[in-house]
Amino acid sequence: MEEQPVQDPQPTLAIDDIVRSHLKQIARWTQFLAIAIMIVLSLALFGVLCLAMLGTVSSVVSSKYYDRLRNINSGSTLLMICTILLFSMVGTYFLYRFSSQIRRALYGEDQKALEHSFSTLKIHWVIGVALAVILMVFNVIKNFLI
Amino acid sequence: MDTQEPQDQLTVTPALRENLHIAGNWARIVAILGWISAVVTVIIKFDKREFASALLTAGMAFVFNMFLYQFSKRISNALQSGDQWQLAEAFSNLKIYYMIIGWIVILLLALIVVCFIGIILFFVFLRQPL
Repeated sequence: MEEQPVQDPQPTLAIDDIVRSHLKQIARWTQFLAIAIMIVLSLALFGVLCLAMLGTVSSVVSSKYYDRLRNINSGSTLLMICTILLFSMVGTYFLYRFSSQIRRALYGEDQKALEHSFSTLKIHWVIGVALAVILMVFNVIKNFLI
Repeated sequence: MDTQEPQDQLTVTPALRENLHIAGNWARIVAILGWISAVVTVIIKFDKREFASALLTAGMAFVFNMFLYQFSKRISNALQSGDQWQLAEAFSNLKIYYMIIGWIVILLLALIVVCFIGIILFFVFLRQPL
């Protein structure tokens, strides 16, 4: 009786030279993006904290320039901006982790790091989706409902 | 004498396959949400009569979310059919997506630096007596 070849239920795919080259480029760009975005977010957070301190000072000394910023310097608005910035920082941290895991996988032939990298990228996208939905809702409320 | 061919040590294991599948699905959600967000932004900008800004936002959002959507579609096809070319194209699309965002960030950072230098120079010249 002739034996039937056992078919692999999942087709085989390899991380060949072309895929490896694309992954290296992805790791390079995501690392740059994560660092650049983290710097911008840190500066923004610093700016928000400065604005909060300016609010305390201006309660004693009033300024005609500061009066223009008074509407965004309420406690709840600043807290919301700080929360969004901190969430964005967490999302960016996961992008950086994705980049470093891809690098470790490619340069150290680490299969586990490659497996974890796309799980990390998923977390980055989940945080991104949550932030995008929150910002979109605020944008719609601000422009159409208020 | 035996000559051993250099082999790729990294492979698409079932665990990686699962993570790629989930990442692909989330990439699709991000891309579709990006398009919806762009449409909302365009409506808001048209309402404020900012037509140039609306078209720029819509164009940019459409192009780079298209690459993310293509990544999602091709990674799904590659995992189903075992097509190596589709896998390579999927990662190529993800690379282009991050490259476009990277160049936008570089341009924005350059613009911020130029504006910052401009503000400093403005105040320096303002303080000088005529």
